[in-house]
Amino acid sequence: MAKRRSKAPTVAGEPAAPKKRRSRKKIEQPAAAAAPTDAPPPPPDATPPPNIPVPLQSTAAAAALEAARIVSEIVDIDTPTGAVIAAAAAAGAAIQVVRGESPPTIDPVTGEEVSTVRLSRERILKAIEDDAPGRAAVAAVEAADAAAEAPVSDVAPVAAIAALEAAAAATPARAQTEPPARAQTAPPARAQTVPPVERAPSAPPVADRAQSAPPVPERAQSAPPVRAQTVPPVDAIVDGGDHVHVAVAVNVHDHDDDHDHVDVDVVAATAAAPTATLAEPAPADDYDDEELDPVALAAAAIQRLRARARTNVAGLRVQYSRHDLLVILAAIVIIFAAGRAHDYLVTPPDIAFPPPGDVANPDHGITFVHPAAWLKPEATPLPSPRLVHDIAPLAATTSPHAGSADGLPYHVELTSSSDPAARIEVLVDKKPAWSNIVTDLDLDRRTRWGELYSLDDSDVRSIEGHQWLRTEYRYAHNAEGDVPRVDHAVEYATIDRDQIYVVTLFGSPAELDAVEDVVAPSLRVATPSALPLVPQTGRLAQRTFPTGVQAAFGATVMVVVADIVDGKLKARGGGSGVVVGRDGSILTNYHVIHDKNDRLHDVFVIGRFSAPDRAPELECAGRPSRSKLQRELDLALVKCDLDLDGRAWTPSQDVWTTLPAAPAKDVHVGQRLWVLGYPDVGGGGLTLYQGQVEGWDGEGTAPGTDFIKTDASISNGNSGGPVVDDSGRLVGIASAYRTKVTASGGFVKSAQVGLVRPIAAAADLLNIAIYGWTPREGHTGVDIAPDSVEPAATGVRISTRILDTANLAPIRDALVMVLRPGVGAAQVDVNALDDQVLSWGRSNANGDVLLKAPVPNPGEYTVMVTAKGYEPLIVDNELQLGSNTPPAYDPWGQILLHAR
Amino acid sequence: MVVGTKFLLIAGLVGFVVVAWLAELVAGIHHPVHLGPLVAGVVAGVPAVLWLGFFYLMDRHEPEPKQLVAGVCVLGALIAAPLADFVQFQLVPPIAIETQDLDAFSLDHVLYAMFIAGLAQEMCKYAAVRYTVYLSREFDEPMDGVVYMMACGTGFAVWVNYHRLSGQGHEVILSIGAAQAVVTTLAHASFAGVLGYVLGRAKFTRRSALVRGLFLMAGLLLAAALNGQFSVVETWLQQTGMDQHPWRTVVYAAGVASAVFLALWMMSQRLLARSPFRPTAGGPASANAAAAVVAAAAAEAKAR
Repeated sequence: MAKRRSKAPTVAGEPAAPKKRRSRKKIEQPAAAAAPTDAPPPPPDATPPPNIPVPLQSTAAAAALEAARIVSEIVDIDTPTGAVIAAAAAAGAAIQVVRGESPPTIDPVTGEEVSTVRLSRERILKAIEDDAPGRAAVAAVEAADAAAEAPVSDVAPVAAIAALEAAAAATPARAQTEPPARAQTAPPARAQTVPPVERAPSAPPVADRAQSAPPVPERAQSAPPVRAQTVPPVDAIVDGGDHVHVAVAVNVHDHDDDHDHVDVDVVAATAAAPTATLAEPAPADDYDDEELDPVALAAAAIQRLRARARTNVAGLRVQYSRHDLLVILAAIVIIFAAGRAHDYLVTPPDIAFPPPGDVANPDHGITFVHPAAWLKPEATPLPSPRLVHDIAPLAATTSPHAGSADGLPYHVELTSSSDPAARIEVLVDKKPAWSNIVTDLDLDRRTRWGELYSLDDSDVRSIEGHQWLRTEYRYAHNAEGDVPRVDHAVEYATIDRDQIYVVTLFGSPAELDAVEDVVAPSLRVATPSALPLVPQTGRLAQRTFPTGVQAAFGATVMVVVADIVDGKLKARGGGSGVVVGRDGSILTNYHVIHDKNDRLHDVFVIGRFSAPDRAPELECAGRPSRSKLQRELDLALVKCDLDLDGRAWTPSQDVWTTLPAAPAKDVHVGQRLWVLGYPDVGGGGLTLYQGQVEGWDGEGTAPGTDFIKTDASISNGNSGGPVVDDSGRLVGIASAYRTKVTASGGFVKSAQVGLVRPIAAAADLLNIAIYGWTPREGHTGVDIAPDSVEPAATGVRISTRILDTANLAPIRDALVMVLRPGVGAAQVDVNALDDQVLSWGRSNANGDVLLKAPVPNPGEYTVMVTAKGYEPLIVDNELQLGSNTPPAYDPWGQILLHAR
Repeated sequence: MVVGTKFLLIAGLVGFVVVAWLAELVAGIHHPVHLGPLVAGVVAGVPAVLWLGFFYLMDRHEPEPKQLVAGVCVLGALIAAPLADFVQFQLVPPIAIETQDLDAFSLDHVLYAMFIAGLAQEMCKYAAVRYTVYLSREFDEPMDGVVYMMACGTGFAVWVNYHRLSGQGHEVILSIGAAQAVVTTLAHASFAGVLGYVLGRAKFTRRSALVRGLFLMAGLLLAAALNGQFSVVETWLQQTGMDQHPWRTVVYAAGVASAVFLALWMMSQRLLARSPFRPTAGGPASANAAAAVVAAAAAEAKAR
């Protein structure tokens, strides 16, 4: 636009001149020729100041003149668009006056007469059908629109002239009643008259028009002033509903004195367009009349305009400026850039941990970088364990693992100065003897937060070639004086030969992200060698195996043993186990649950298979001191009685998968075996090794069938796990050690060889598991003569009802016990009952009781019934079962108890 | 008549603060109180209504349709302000671990106040006017830019004030809250008005689209800078050592907002003096109106 404007004056052959001066100059040229016939006689005074009001003149010429004058003061008529607008304004005014649609009114402020024009596009279009002036007006509208729309600059003036002429035609049309000729003058046709005008700008266009339309000359003389106007640009602004309004208000002042001047001004407006026309094409050196047919361009533009006018969006588009959208975009860019800069300014620099030269926090082999906005590291006390808190006093007195002189564990905490909820904890400790750190850490977290701890994600990441276990978790905690809340944490842990390193980040998710981005890549430990965190062999995902073996996965459990050390639960090692009872009884090696000093560990925790190559899911806990032990056979039967939060817990029945036992006669040399378990390598999931039966071996060096020899890999941690055949039948218990009981009664691991204890050796424990038992402190012996235990495959399920003698009300939680054969009232030891009870049951709220295990028949048994608040009842040989007793039997109907 | 109304409106604003102060005095409240949504709405809304009336009367030649002005005000409150919050807190997400400089005039504070919070707010006010009423035929003289933008800024201030007064756990001293609502409204409206001045001129400028865009950008940045300095200086004034001085910020805000408003007023007078709708000795008002319409057409034709 700027370019165009600067060109115009040059082309016109005159220096750029102020708008007004120029207008006036033009005015003078055609003055004489342009005197309109319709206009009142021109006044002699030809130079009134433009602002002086002139009296109302009801002719179209005067209206057009005034409109053009006003517009020329506002727009730059040197430019094509300016010329178009001026012309449009003039034409609109003239048309309006000619049609007499808008009688002059009196301006209330000034008392002067005002002519107002309001046309709707619809009305204009309708006018095409009605009369010539209307058509002319439409032509003017379209021509001016086309002018504004046309991409080629020289079309504008062409169209402007067309508009002028159309408007000019309108006046005579009314006056001389000669519409037909004009009616036929379609916009393009009119436009064709333009070139001559261009060539002779100083000559009144009237003469040229005469060539194309006979009546033109007369018209032209009356018309020149009218030419000035096209309403359309105005029209375009106003985007309403269905139609577009054209509103041009024009003042017409009629001063006799000014009449000359009026004429002059009109001509000026008229002339402006041709001037612009010339101005545009000329500057371009390559301009060629032949090359671009302005008329054709104008016609095309008109077509486009027509199509566009059908949509309401058209008007809007006029208002829409992409440049303004750029302002918004630029602002957004600035906001973004400022955001980044601000981020840079307020992000704390990174500093190293431990701080160089910090004596209080020596380098324990781990270094990393963290944001500086943290308080100095401070030692934090280790949390007391939640798991098994109820046995802490027991552990405290018995634990031999107290104190360490090497400054370990090293446990410090860095607190964010910007948000104290964000913390970094660093823990360096001696590597656990048992290196399954996945489960170890899981256990550690669970002991801190109990059941309110929830594992979100866990994977192994390599940082500078060193494996780190990254764990995301949530935990509920309740800082002193604070409301309970759930927070997020991300933990990085690794081990080297001697130590375990745990760096835990606490805070809001956003803070964790920010801190982790800095800390994680910079984590380094002094000896980046260490063990792999996940086992590389024996992983399930890489193995193929019979489906029967797959069934054994669920029966294989991880047995983690732990001690309470300094008030903290520390995992000491682990092994495997196999579920042998639907009540959750688990068979494992004795050496798994005791330490090298032949001391039972404080706690065992059972982890169950979750998914291939995932760490087992910790499920429940118990105490080795409450299990059934067979030291000579290196076997133990354990059962959970605590949950992971240390509360009393009863295993759900029937959720435990058990395995059928393979009969001893079916085991032969060369048979394929599968060893399942959780060997002590890092922290992977269940592993599976394949081997075959190579023979039998005896205890010590003696020949015998105490062990099955196999070539399958059985390592530390496999101990206690099941060895199954192809169909998933339990062949034996894997044992990583040969053990022996010394002459003094001590228990030692004598050699580390992979052997399998045949399942038949565990018959006693299996029987206990089948009968059901309750873990009790001090009842670890299995002093049952093998011959006294018949397999309870068949038997009688005893049921009865326990009532109060006084009112026959049912008694809840009464215990009905059937004692083993040979145990009479005299032999009952209330402190060793579980070794003497064959089967038992507890009454429900209705007093109904069903014994848990079937009682073998035939036989005679002593029965004991106890209930809190009632006198115990014990009767020798009360239960007498014959061989024909039905399998479900209520021998008494009801048992009445006396209240104490 | 109009001057009288304006005077009444200003008196109403002062009276509003006085009433709040008296209410505090009479009720014997000497501590911050938590305002319910209703009270907060009243404290935020009343100054806005009074100011809006005042701004409306500024355009003395051709008053804008009341429903448009009110609509733009609502747009400011319900579109521009939430949008600004979104831009500030979502497009530029908060930094998780940050250490801000303790000096109120540090670069990070200034940057945030001017080019993030300030610019985002002013940009949203601008967008709310530029893509709605700006396109309307009623936006027909440069002065309208000032009027509509001030209306938008007023609405914007209602949102800001409401959330400051009724935010979760926020407690305010009633008189200070009322005074802040009054001056914050004036401030937001004035900053927006500066941009509106540019916007109004830009619509009718004869200059090229590029220059027009640069004008708008400059106006936007100026408004953002004014907005930003406000929060920076407020932070600085508010606290001395461990003491809080809320009244200081009120006084400062009133001073700055009034100064900006006065400057705007004077600029507006220039616009009004050249308004096409002014009654002139040279002709009836309607002639100028016609000229304005044509001028608008010319501007648009050029923009095309």
